[in-house]
Amino acid sequence: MGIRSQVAILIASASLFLAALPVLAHHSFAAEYDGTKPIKVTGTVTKFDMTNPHSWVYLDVKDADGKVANWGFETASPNALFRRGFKKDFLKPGNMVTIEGFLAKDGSHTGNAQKLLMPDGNTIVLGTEVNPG
Amino acid sequence: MRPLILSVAMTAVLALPLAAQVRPPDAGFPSGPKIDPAKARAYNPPKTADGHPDLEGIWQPRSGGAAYSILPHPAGFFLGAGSESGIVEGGELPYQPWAAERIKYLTQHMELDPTGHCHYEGIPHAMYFAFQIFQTPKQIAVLHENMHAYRIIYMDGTHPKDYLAWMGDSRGHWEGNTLVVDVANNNDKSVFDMAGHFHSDALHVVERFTLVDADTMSYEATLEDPKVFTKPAKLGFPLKRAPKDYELIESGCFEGERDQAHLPEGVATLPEGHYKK
Amino acid sequence: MRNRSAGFFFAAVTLLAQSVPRTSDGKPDLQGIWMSRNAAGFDVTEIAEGHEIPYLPEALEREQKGPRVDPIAHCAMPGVPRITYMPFPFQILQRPGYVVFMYEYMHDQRIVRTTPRDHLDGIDLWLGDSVGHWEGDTLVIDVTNLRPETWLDSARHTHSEALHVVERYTRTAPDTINYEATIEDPKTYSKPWKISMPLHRITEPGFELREQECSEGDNGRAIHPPYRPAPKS
Repeated sequence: MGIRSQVAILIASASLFLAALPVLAHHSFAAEYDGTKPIKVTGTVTKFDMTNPHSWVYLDVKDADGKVANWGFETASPNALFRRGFKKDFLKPGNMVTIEGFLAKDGSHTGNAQKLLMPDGNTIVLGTEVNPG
Repeated sequence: MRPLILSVAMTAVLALPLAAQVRPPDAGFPSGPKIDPAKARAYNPPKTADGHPDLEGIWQPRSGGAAYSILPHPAGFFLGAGSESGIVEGGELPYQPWAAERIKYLTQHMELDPTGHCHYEGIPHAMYFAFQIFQTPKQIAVLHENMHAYRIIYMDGTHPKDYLAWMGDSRGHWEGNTLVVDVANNNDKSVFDMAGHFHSDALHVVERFTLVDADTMSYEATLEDPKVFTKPAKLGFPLKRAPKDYELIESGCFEGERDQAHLPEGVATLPEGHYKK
Repeated sequence: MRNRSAGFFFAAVTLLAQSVPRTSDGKPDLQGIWMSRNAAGFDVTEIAEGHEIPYLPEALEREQKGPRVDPIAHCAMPGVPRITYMPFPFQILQRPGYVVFMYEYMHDQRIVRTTPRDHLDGIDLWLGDSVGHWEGDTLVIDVTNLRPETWLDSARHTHSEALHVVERYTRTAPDTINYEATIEDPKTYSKPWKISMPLHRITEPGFELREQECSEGDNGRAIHPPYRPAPKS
């Protein structure tokens, strides 16, 4: 599993304060993702499904040997993304993006996205784990 | 590690409002912003045309991480901030002795959590998240954003027979300025939280909604379940009015559920005992 | 047939205008539990003007090569207008500034504001984004932001993300609402087309909505009809 360090990601601190309210606890992500295994990947968007209960962004990511693997990252629900200023066409196939998140426990190329660095340099907090109130 | 800092920062932000011990008008309940009981008792809310407090609006519960556990619990990755007090009076639930094994089993099998399967949260679980109230003399409708759930609190009629529902059946009446709602016909499948706190189909909930100031409503629920509890339990938290332009936005669940595939059988959320104080 | 029913419609509306019960803010009272009574859920052309849909040829070809499983089989919401002719009751509740729809089908809901508001920009929803207003005694609801995956019926009549629906609800009798919808989608249809049907009030005493759940994969039964205790006679 190639993990590539990329440029530093700005903390979108405003989003942390906006997010101080309970949101859908669809299920416990601690059961699916490993909080001790942060990852950061850069790749090309192949698909973005803005759907409930969680949106999914898929990227083709090249590892150190140049092999491409398709990764899936789970992000927030459409209404939560929308309230953070995210719009459905922000993640189009072909966009290069960097995602910071946590690895799935089951060993697949799956992660729970926390932050997304957009092609224009903006950072969006995608994390589903906004603070419960 | 940056994620740790993030988690600590989030906890710090949340610790501020939880710092003050909270008491609603008539009894103590643990979590959320402070309510001054004297002011609450003195408050005379705006009334609807038929002379009852106007409960309409969008309400944002300050439920202190109740979705994860309604009892006191520490913060944790993917569990958000903890709650020093939980939302249950006394900080514990009066389960019968046999229930401890069931609770332990459920926390070791998060793949069985019904909200993970997009089922309704039930009452009181659905009340931990934003909802909108529409009020008429005969019916008070509560529309939730989560799972696009709704329930109608009927101000007349009686509970139906031979009927069980995830959201139960609600019949309400006014006691002074408090809306009292009797919730029966609950199935045994909804849960109070993700920490294994379950109930049976004998669950009977009595809720009390009281406006305490222009932007705050007190929510209390008494839970009776002779099949699992030794005596009733009481929980509560404040509801805050949402900002003026806030709207509920459609939020389904079934149409894109993809997490269950990554949850093998027998998946525990956290090490044993995490949810305990 | 169309001209004759239009004539009856206008006559009924005129007669009724004097006597239609109103809510406290002077609007026609649409409240109650309603249900359609037709087979539009199987094939929407039953209630379509001319009983056909003006497809663009390329759109019809796309449809015929597209997915063959009705999205509601996987518990996706049916979209608008299909939610209105699903064979289940729904309740309308009216408050100043709002008309609230609570559908028994999969416990769907629509909170429709009747105060002006721009449509949301940048999010698609299964039941779309609804903005309502009153034109005389007709409730008009403008629906955009509809997700493209929904079918208009189980016969697989599809649309694109450009779908735009304008619904019109008008009481024509104490127990009847005339429902019309203009459906346009420049990527699918060569011109807008209309459906219309009556909605009938459920007058059974003590009738209340019950909970219905859709649970994909639950013993293969995607939709659980709500158990309704036998009515007292």
